[in-house]
Amino acid sequence: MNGCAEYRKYLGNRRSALQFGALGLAGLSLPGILRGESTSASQAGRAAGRAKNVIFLHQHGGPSHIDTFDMKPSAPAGIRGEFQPIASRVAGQPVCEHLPRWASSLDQWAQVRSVHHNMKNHNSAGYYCLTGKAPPTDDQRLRDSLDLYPAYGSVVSKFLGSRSPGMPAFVSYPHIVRDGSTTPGQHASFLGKRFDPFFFNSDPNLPDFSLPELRLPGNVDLARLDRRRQLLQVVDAQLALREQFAVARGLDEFQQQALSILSAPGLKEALDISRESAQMRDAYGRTNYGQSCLLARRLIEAGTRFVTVYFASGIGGKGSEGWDTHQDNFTDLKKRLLPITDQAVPTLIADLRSRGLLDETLVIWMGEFGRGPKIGDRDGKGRNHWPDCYTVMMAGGGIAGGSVFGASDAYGAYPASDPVGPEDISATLYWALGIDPSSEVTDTLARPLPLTPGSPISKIFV
Amino acid sequence: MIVPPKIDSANHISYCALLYIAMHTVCLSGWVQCQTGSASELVILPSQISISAGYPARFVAIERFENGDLVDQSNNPQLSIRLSSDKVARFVAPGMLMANHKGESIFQAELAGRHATAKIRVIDDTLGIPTFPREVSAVFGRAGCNLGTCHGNLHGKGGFRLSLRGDDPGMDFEAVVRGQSGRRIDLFSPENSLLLRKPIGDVAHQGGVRFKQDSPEYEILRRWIEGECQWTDGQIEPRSNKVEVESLRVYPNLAVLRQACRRQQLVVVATFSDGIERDVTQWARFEPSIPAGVRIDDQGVVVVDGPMDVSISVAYLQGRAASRLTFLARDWAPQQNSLEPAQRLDQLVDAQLARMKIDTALAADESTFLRRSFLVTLGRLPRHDEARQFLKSTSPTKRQDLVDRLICQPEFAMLWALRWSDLLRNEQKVMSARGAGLWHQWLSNQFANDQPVTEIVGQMLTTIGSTYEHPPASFHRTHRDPETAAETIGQVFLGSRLQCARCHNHPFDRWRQDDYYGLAAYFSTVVRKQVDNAPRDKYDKHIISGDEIISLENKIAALWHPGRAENVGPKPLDTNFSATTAMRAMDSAANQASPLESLASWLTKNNRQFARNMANRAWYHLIGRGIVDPPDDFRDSNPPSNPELLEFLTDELIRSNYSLQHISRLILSSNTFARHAVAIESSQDALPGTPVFAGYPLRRMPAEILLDAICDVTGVSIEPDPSGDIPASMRNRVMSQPTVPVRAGFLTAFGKPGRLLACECERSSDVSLGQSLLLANGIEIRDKLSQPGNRIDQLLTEKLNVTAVIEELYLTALTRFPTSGELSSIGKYVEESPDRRSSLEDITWVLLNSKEFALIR
Repeated sequence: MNGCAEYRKYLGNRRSALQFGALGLAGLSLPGILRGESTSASQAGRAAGRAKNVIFLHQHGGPSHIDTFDMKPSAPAGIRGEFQPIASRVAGQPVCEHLPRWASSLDQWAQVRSVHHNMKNHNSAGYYCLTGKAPPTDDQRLRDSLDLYPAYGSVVSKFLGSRSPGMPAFVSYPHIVRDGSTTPGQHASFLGKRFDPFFFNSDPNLPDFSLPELRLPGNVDLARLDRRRQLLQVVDAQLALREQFAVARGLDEFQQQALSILSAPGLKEALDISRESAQMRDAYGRTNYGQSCLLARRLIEAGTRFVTVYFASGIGGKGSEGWDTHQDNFTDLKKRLLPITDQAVPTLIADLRSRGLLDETLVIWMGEFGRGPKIGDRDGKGRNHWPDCYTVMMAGGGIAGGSVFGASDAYGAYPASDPVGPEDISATLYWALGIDPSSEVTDTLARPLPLTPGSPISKIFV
Repeated sequence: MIVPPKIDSANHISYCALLYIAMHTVCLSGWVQCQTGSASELVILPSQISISAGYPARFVAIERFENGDLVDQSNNPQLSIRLSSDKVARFVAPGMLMANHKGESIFQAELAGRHATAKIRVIDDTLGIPTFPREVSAVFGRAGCNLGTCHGNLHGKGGFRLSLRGDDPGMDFEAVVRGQSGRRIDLFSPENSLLLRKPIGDVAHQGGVRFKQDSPEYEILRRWIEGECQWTDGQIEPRSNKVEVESLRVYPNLAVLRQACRRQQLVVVATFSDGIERDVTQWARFEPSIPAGVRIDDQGVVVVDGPMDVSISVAYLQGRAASRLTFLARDWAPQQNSLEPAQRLDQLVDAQLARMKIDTALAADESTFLRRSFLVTLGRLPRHDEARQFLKSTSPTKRQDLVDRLICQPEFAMLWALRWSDLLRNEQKVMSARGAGLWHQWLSNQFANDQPVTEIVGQMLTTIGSTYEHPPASFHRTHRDPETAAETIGQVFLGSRLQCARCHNHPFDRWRQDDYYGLAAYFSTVVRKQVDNAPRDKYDKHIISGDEIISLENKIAALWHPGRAENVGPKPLDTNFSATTAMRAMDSAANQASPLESLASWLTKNNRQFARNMANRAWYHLIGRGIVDPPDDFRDSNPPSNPELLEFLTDELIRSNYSLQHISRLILSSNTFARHAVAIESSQDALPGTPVFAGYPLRRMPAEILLDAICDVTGVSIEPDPSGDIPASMRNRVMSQPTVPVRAGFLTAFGKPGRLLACECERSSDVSLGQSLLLANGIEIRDKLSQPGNRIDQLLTEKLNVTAVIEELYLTALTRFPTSGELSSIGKYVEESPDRRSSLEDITWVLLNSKEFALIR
């Protein structure tokens, strides 16, 4: 099914020659339709980005853009909401009053304020934003099958490999994102299991946080593991399979890596968050998300190339879990979601910067969609799903701090200029790492498919 | 260092001597001086050469030896060529003719006393204005302009979009001539057209220089613009005059080339719908099946870096063809190791190995044979008593007896049911746990009774009613729209991937949208009714919790074809792989009266491609790689590695009335199954490329089989399913996802398919870090090693001596006795260990983590 939705759309466009008016109603202007062509033309001369790593922060549920970075203080009360904008480090770019720390570090960030797509459900939109690939249908329980696109981290693992021998190239945690069923786009899919993330599903904020799969059982110490390893060599030497066969060699390489992860400090130390000072841990916030962001920095420092942090497993929005604020939007944002975020994310940026890692690490903060301009969903105090326009934040990895690409209209409802889709966000991510977005991968049917049809937004890079 | 071959005749001495002298110059000069006495003949391909004005016609001169090996002599300077008359044509370069005047002539070639002739026919002698759908489209294809990475991309490139690989010349015509208000074309001064200035790099072009100003590509485009950009002669509207490729042939299409040959000229000839036949070598695109070490120039000359068995797919406009070239690693006969060909199947494999000069692996020892047989037939390890009994037996027929016994076991049927359940999407979300179990059980019963495969498939397609009462009707429950059903018919039952044709004509295969929707239309009257659907999750449209009733709507079977924008009726595929007549389109009245009956009848009655696909699947599952591989990708450009073998197995399957037991017995009794694995990568004489089954292919155990094997070794059976629907021992096999989360994690990590695709590839045989961590330290292993009462505890209570304990662990895990070396180091370890149980845990851990354990070998 890969590519079909797009292909059909394209056939449709072609057959209904020049009936762009119909599409215009869906929020696309003629320049928008030609955007793929025009922006790619303007990219011709630009060299690819200089990022080496990525920290991808996914806000499951869909954060409100109007109540965070794209505020509309002059819109009617039923749209602008109860939050006040405050001045940020960048002149003319106010930020929500409940993101004061982020406001003071906004000069590190680029904002893309014209992201839009047409997936209204969490799983389909989530997949779209975790892969840059439009799902075949806007399916609330989109099934996670191997003909769907791989996670960004898996693609990057395939193209760039691991940065450090003992470290997995792609680590993701601390949740499996789901809404009724697992959201696709969290693993390597058709790229093959060797590009799956090293994934764990536990809260680094728990006092006894550690991973059972990396912890040897109490009665197996390192000496015993080493004895086992030596005996294993005796058995493996019999048929010399490793010497003769690629598949045995593959098994052996991963086994060596697994045993060294179990016995050597590398990954275990990186994941040992207790090595951080109490002060540092407090700075990120003693929350699952805060400590996950801290872990992301530790993992990048130790040589992981791509870290994905999922804010929550469920969409939430009822005072727990994710950003799906259908009810009591403002209380949930003010009391929970924004404070957690404002503690963790600016700290991460400052921490990366002070360690000299920010320039080579692209940080992306986004959700699967924004939230509707009109207040009044469900309990009358919520905002509904809104894929038609929202904001994506990027920092580090060569991003020009303080830049803004695209704009929304007066109500934050539709892009007013430079509309981009998740495809372009994915193209930007790949481009920033020096991966050609039009590179081909093959799916399970051996069909050559481009990584993404999108065009990189290179204007927000230095 | 090259080891000189054994030389068995005086003739070969001089040949080989020359050959070694020539070795270093071969790649440069590209031809080999072969002096082999009388044992060869000269052949010219094609035997009839058609030439049209302005298009050079190539030919290949091939020296064919008695044993079938070839040498391409096309550019041997000693080759002398004579035309009976130069009125008709002339030579413009070695191996290349141009037209002079209309007419026919004879062409004679001579090399070292060997002669060959070919006919020449000049069909037109005036150079016409290039047409868009033929000449101009071919330029775009050849220069790569219309690839997915360039202007063939969905969004085009730089504002210029062409159809993917030239699928729609009409659209391309519009884009070139009328796109962006015609700015790409300058009729008054053709040379100033962007269409010409971009590809030669005269103005900035992101895609770089595609061809030079003095190239034929440039000349065609220039003359086409000069001729006022017509679609075809005198026509300015696209599609007004359809010119398509009717057939495409490549010469040679099959060649085994001597060791010193690293070069082969290919000639590609197209026949068009207007009757014109033309050499289009220069305009074809070539794609080798092996990406590295093969170069193909724009004149169709293939040069390889080393020995290989490579298929070259050839594409020109709508035409597709393939050439399989085997560049030998050596010229001397292979060693056929120890196994006498016992049956026809072996002879066919051996004959190909002999042709390709490949040594076979040694016969597998008994324990390897035993372990392999159990794993591929029953999906479990032999128990230690079964192993002892087999290894001890001195019966000369014990291998055959074992095979005969295994294929009658219920587990044999269950394993096939697992394989079919995977492909037919038998997963519990759509099927419900009960429905999935019932269908699996039904399949299992069919295989246990050795029902003809044709009947199993026929029943599944034609059964309607309650899926609980009539489990084969479940096919229509899991294939919820006509398109998905058609894709399964193609992929699972015919071995053809039709999916591309859902949205556009298949870029690499013969399938067109018409084929796709014609097949899907058979399913257009199927309707489904839920009886007691109460999904846990009301938003999940995929869940069907109770029974479902399948019925047929009383209406005309027809389906919307988006490409034609009209409804189309049922039409079988023209698989054309087949020589039989059964593929012909069925009477449309019969199709309408009972579409599913018609479909089943077409699919399973005398449908050779169906039989071929099923024979290939059986081989794939028992041997580990298909003769066509991947097994669901039959394509002109993915030919079978051993066509005779595949046809033989197909015949056998048909002859036995589609008995899976018969075909399995045949394969399991073959020498191919009985050989050791062969170390393909390291062998000096190996041919990279298509498998030819010189040894048994190694692979990782599938997820469920691996987990069951771990249970068997540790003596800890898996916990019963909390739902209680299915016996614990069967659960992993029956269900798409077991309900115990840890187990689901283990099975998923090792590639158990989610049963959401009709592809064998959904079952991953990849290795990964996650898998290694699970085996080394995962909860499944840890718990089983430490669990009280496990096999280790049993062995301790039995108070056996250390040797006996180690032997039993080895037999259970690896189906072999420890070597004396292993016994001494491991025995010592156990003896010296202060804690006997913990030392045995270590040994068990070691065995479970050994490569010998994880692999089917």
